[in-house]
Amino acid sequence: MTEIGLSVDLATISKLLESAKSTLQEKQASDDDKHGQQKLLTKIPKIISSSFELPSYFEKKFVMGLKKDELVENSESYINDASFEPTVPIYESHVSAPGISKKKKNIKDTAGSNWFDMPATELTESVKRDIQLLKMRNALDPKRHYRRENTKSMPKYFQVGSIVEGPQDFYSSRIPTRERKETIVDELLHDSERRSYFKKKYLELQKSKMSGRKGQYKKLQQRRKPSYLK
Amino acid sequence: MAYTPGSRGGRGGSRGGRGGFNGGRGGFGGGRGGARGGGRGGARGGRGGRGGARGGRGGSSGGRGGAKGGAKVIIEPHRHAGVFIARGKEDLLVTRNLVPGESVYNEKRISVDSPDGTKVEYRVWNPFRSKLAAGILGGLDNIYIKPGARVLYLGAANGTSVSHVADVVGPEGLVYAVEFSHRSGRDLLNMAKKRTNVIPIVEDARHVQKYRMLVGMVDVVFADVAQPDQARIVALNAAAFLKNEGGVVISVKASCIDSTADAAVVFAREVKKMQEEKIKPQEQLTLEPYERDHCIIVGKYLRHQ
Repeated sequence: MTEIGLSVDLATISKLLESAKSTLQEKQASDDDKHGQQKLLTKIPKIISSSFELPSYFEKKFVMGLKKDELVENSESYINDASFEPTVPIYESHVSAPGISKKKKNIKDTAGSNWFDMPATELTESVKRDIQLLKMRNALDPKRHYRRENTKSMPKYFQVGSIVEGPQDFYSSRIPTRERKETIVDELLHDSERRSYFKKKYLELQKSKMSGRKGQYKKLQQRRKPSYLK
Repeated sequence: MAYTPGSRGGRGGSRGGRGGFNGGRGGFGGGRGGARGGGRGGARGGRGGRGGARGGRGGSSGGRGGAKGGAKVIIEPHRHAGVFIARGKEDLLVTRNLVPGESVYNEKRISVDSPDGTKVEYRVWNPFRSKLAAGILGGLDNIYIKPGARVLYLGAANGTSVSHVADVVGPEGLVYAVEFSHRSGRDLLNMAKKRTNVIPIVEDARHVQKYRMLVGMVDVVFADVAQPDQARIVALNAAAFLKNEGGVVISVKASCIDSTADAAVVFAREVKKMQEEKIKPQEQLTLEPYERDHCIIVGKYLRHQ
């Protein structure tokens, strides 16, 4: 028992000696470095103050490292937040009752099977002008009178057609072929009787609307002038 | 019954001839012009006062008689299903032609320029020759005749109104046209050859058992028979063919029922007869200015009253 204890003690002593040697060697190396630095510093007396500042620079570097770690940690947290956001369900403030759904008003293309699916024709400019003319047809002929037109809006389902006369209508109830036009407006513009009426009516309106205007005032001024100034 | 189709046919012929002679109309004098002008004025929305002026102006009245061939019009759906309005310088009641390219009684047609290439055509429905057209223009609320309906038409005559009813009900509907006179029945048969949804029956409407094998259950009974026992005829046919709560549309001519009594009294009496025969009257409309001393009575047949 005692021999074993002695052997253990010797081994530990040898280890301690080796570690002491290594530490001494390290200390010597560091001392050599320090001495070199001190030699350089002693030559220039101003740099002595900077020798004291060096540890602070080292400390700042460590602080920089800490900041980097913080940035990395923050970026991770940002990633986590971003990843969490889409998974969170978004609840609407108003939820409709079950069974009640909003009915979308479907705009139908046709008038329905009750009117043999008459299509909703596109409202081009010429057709629109024709319909507006038909709404104002009271003004076309002073000798023809119509009932009141109740509809105010443009019709939605309509078709444009032309009248086909029967064989007995050749002389009595037919528009000659060269006077047939594509639109109602064209028919009206090429009707010489209507054109003369429109011109007369337009001139009447011009005369009534121009009374009391600048032309009349100039005439009045001319009349007021004495004869030697005219 | 025997004299009515004759006079109607005569009227059509005379109108056609009159249309041909344009300038000659001026010579006929104010009386005829007045009567015609009154009627036409109503169709066009004017009033009877225009009649005198119309009579005096022979030449222009010919030109103004109807919408001119080649004029442009705009077709709109009417309030009633299957019926349309053509709006131009004049408004015309039209139905969609079941047989495009053909007119039945030389009426005007309206050809539509459709972009998809199908041929669409409408026929002008003359309210002076059709009591039902006069009723529609007069503002009937419900005529029970719509696309897909089955109509029993009593008193079909030459088939002018029947052709328009066939246009309204369309290819899915059916019109059983009953006519007593063989002379008018011939025209009806010729019309029915082209309109395959018209089934012509040349029989007396009082003897329902003679044609009960030809007629199925119908939705509407339209009657224009101008007989003193018209209500009884309608009741017999309704009992045999009309479905429960089906429509009954009767055109009553007061002078044929009772020529001595006042028209309003005759109409009231007919309504009373209808009520006794399980027909609940809903609407009554006099057909001025298209027909004089005429009215249309619309009712509903309550079979289990």
